[in-house]
Amino acid sequence: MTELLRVTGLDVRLPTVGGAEVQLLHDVELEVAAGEAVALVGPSGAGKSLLARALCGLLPTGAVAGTVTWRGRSFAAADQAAWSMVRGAGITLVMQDPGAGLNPVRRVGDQIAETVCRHRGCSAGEAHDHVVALLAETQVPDAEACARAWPHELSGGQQQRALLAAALACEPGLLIADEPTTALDPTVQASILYLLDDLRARRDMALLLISHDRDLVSLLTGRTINLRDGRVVEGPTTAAVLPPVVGAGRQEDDDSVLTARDITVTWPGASRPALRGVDVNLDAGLVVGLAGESGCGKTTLARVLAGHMRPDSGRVELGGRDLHALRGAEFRRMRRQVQLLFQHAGAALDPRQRGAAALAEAGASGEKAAALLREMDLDPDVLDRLPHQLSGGQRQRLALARALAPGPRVLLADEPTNALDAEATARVRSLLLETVRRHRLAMVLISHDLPLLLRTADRILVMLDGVIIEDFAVDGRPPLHPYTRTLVSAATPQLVRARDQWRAVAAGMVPRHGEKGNACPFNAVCPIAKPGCTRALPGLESVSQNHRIRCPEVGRPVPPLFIDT
Amino acid sequence: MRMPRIAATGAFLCLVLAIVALAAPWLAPGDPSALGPAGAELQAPSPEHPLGTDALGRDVLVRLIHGGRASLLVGWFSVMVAVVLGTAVGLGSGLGPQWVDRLLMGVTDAFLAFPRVFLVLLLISVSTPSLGLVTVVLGLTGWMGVARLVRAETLSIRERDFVQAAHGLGLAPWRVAWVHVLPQLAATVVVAATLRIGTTILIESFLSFLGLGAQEPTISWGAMIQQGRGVLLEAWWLTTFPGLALTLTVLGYNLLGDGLRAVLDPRRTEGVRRD
Repeated sequence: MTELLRVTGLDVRLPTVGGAEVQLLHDVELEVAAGEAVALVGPSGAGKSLLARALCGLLPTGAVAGTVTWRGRSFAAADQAAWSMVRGAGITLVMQDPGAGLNPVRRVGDQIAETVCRHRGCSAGEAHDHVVALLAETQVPDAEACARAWPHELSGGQQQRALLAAALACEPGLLIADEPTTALDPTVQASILYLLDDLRARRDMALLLISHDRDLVSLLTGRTINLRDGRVVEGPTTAAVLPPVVGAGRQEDDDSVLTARDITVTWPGASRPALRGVDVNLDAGLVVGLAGESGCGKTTLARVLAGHMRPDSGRVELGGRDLHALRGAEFRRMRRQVQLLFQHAGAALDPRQRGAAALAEAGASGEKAAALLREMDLDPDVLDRLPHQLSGGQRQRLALARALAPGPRVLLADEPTNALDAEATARVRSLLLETVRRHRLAMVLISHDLPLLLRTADRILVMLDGVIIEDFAVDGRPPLHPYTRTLVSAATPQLVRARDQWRAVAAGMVPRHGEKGNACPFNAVCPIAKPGCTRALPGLESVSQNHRIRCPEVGRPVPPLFIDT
Repeated sequence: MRMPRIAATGAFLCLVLAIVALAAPWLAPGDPSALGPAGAELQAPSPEHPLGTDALGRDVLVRLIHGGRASLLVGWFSVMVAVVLGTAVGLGSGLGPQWVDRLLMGVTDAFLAFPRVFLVLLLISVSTPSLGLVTVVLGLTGWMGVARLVRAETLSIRERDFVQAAHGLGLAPWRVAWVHVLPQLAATVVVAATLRIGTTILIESFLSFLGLGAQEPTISWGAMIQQGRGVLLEAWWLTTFPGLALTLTVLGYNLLGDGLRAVLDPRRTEGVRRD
């Protein structure tokens, strides 16, 4: 293979707010051959995104040092004039947040046309056909309509495809994709990755895929570069830390702590309800996993259970009393028994409150606070710190300590490790499970990561579009609903035996035009959908002991799209 | 974080004016309203009287120094009244149930719908004009902007996770408001207050100019301008210097307010760093 890009001795220094300089990349060596796929992995803060920007010449001139060789031509990494020749025509960058990459007040097609015009020197009118062709190449369902759409009318996955189309307009030799799927749901993630790999092969374009998810990139790419603390290192950058495989404390005598019946919520101004008749039952000492993609109503349900918002109808029963029927001091006393652990601990702690004050407010001071900190494996000096002086993991553990301070019976954890890196994630996760066992809490663990829930929860509820579509005990038997199985396959591509099989799964997830209203919420994507699926929402029926499912088609032969879990 | 130059300039101006006003009895001892010696009337600026004398032979510089006390006093205290009132209304409106919100915002809109100057003139004309009355009236007519600002900010703060978490701990609503919401408002309120001081001082001088503010023997810049109005062409120094003092004061507080906004508003941090 011919060498496309070679970087030698790349250093990056950036000034800090205080005026001092800090070196963020040290002597990075990198080589990419034409048409090759390379993965760049490393924990957050390793300098991955910085390297991506450096490879596009997007950093201030004074910050970079080193030599770049592009298609056999060498120049200094600080040479802006040389970069402007390479950038666009040679190297393009697709960023993490697709929403931020599109100008909200211009039509998607016009934005892509802009790039096309610059590179082909044609007028906007002439560019139109090319724009539609590019969008079609990125597998947008209706390319013509997409070109006319405003950015906010597209879903996250479609926005990312549109940005990809704009990047392809430059006909790049190297496409750098910086965490292109992190902001997307797992099913969409899989199809975007599939698309990237497909484009690479068809266009003979090199791909540098940046990700923190080693498993995900390993499926697509030949070679992996590990980055840690701004240096290229050998081998995996973090030991694979797997959470404990056992559930918290399954199969004890079941004693119900909290029961929610027929919860329905419609947000003001929304056209569809966020929750439609949801039932939940929580038992002491058991972990219930709540799975589903963003917008399915997971967080709304948690807020209702914790008393943060009143449902339009339905009851939340706690110790035999309806939580939302209580008022004033009685309501406040009761809601202390249900504590919510937020996704971003940084936002959940008052920025002006030190650890001691936060715990004292929750009802733990002196020896009780010290004991809680010990339990959470935190140093006592956390008491004197403000939240911004703590690491992400410490913040979440402090938030957990605060949640335990009132002595709750129910703990709702809303993607508690989503904002943390691998090490902190493992620690918080094991602390959570230990806590559930020690205090015999009834816990809800909300996550979009179904395989994770399959390893940690005792029972799993899968939500889609405000309804529970599957409710099953984790006992080794596989989930049955096509949506649940899609989630499993999408999130664990490394489990797929054959690469082609995975491609089929990903390709099958490009949505068709579906029915909304009172239809099965999965009908637009479902591989086994029947005409009846668009007419009525199926009921949640028992298929076996401890297993209920909202799909009458299950049991019929299924196309070989899914992997067995 | 380095204070932007603009804020530093404003802070310097405000500090100098405050010191001069506070130290007036020592900087310019004696009664500034006492009649000057015969023959000292309407003298142009000279080494003896750097800013000249007025129609009664009194030193304009001395009167200017003492006049600043009234302006700053009214500015500071009426804004304090407005901020306390506005914050209370805004907080109640943002945190309270919907009917409280509707009621308080209705009252706010009603107050806003009246032209402020008309309201002030009305309130003052039914009573005897004095500095204290002007302060109270300006405070009572200046809180609406603060109330709206505080309400908007409160509505966003109350949805933030840490406020929700505090409710989740079963804390009483007043405690959540006092401990978690109010401190987050500090930056907004300080900036709003600073920017309002300048405007308020202008209105005070305007009222004094009309004879509705400070009454003799209290000295006010607005009243000084009024007294010099009749001899504007013959004795320009009588109107020019109080006018200049007013301009500098308003400029100082506006610069300080803008600068504080840049420093205190987290959404503007980026801009400050690049400064």
